[in-house]
Amino acid sequence: MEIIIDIEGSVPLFAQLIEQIKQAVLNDKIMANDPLPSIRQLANDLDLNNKTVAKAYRLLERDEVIQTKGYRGTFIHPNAKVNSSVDLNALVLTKLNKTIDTLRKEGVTDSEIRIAFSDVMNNRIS
Amino acid sequence: MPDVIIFYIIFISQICLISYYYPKKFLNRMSYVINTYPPSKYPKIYPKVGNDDPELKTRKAMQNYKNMNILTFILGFVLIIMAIYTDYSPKGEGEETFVVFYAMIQFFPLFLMELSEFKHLKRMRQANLKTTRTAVLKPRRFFNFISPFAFSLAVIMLTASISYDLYVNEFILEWNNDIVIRIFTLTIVHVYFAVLVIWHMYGRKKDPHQASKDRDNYVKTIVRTVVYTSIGISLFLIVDIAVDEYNVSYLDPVIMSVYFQLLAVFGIGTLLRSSDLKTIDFDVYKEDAPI
Repeated sequence: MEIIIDIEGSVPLFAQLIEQIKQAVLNDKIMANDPLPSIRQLANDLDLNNKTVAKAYRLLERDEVIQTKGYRGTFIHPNAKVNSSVDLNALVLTKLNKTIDTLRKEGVTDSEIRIAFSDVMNNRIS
Repeated sequence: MPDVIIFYIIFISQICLISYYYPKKFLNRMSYVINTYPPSKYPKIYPKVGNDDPELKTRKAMQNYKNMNILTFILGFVLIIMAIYTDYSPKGEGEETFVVFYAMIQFFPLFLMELSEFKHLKRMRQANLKTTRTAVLKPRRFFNFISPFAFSLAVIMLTASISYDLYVNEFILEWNNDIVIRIFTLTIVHVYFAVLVIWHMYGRKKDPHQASKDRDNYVKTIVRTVVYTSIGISLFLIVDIAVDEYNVSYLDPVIMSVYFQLLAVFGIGTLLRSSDLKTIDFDVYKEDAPI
């Protein structure tokens, strides 16, 4: 199973990696418990920074698409197929839209929402 | 007298094997590639340097390699004529030095070719303008490229050679002792082998266009060459120590010559045997090659 990364594409490199690994799982090109290349191997093969691949692996691990088994390496999670179909981006968008609608109904302006959102994201207001 | 004749036969075999047989095989391969996959149809194999014609440049490099080997071949026979003229007969007084010296001259064209290959691959990477990159979602593991048996044999042979050396030297380790130098050299050589294998297995792609299966085959060739060479070195050490131990040092030039021939067979031979040009995917080097 080969993955293709476009270094000049508009999608961030780590997101391209995540998407392609999830697609490979969904299309049965890689199965549960299949081993994955190490971060270093994949980064060198794609001529990317190790941190980019590490970030993609970290997020895939959080989503339970892959799992790291210590020195034995990284493997496809047993529930990867189910977990790959969960779109966290869609979930975030739905929840944010819902919250923004509620705030607008309360009379909060868009610029106030933006400032508040940015402050929360920057941990300035808890 | 028979040992002198044996030496001449083995030395002629060294001349022919390293300066004629393998260079001819290499040149045949290069000719096959340039004739079957010319720069006009497969430009990615021949990255351009300035205004130079890549085909002309490659053919010139091939001619230089051929000339160097012809010279070494002639030099080998000149040495034999000189040896016959001067009544050369090994007495175990370091006469193997000239075999070593000659072998180094023989391997020099190959060394130069390796260097030019590195430069060539670097130019390929620099000329590569495609924005897409590919990778296989499969880990490369050492034992995918070599059988555990061959690797275990290399480890056993290495341990045996060091143990035999220690046994012959009554387990006396002193800093100025030959054994310490031999162990140190063996360690350096094997660290170099390990680095070479890791570099090829996990390092960046040397050839940016190479297909994944071809890269795997290339790594397999490197791993096999390294493991077989290690076995050859250990075998040579055991024989070399035995020669000193049993006071048959007059055989040193013969053994040294056999050693270099084995190195060529294990090294260059494995490289040529393992990589079949007909199985390589050359379509990736076409101008309009798919990703």
